[in-house]
Amino acid sequence: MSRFPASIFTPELQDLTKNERAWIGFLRLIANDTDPAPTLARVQALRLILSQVRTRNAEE
Amino acid sequence: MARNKPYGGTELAAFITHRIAELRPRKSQIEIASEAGYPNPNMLSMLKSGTTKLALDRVAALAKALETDPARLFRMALLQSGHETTRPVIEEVFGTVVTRNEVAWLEAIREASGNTDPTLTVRARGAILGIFGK
Repeated sequence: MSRFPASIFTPELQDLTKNERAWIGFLRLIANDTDPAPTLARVQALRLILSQVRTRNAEE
Repeated sequence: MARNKPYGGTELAAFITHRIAELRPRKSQIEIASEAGYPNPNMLSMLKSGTTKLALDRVAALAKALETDPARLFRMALLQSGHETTRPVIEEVFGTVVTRNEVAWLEAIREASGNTDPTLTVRARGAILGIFGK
């Protein structure tokens, strides 16, 4: 897992991977750069998506 | 775009206009200008109308005065200045410029995935679109 340097604006954040950059890029694209907040409902939906991905990966 | 308002209609001009209106109940435009370090309060009116552009060295102070994310304002300022090609260079040298909300998204992704660095699959894209009602 190769990581890119952390942002100068958020030094507390660990470096980003290529996959994480893809996630952020996609979020920006669909939200038209409006910087959407991760509300409880959105995070719960995200957890559901990622749990399905993990389950699928475990089965394969 | 009017000749005397070369930055009118930019995302940054619209954003500043909107943000000042949101803050109006508790902070005046003059107070915001003062907090941002502008000796002339008319600068905000000029930024709103697009008469002038936001100088990059003002981004941090103005973001603080507008109580908004500096990374987001920085991105808009780059675009307004016609520096679209600068952004990828900055990100290559200094790292991905992420907002506080994006940090929260990343933390949620890491936590929910058990730090497995999940790939953004087609299925995940579709599900994310669903989250945003698209």
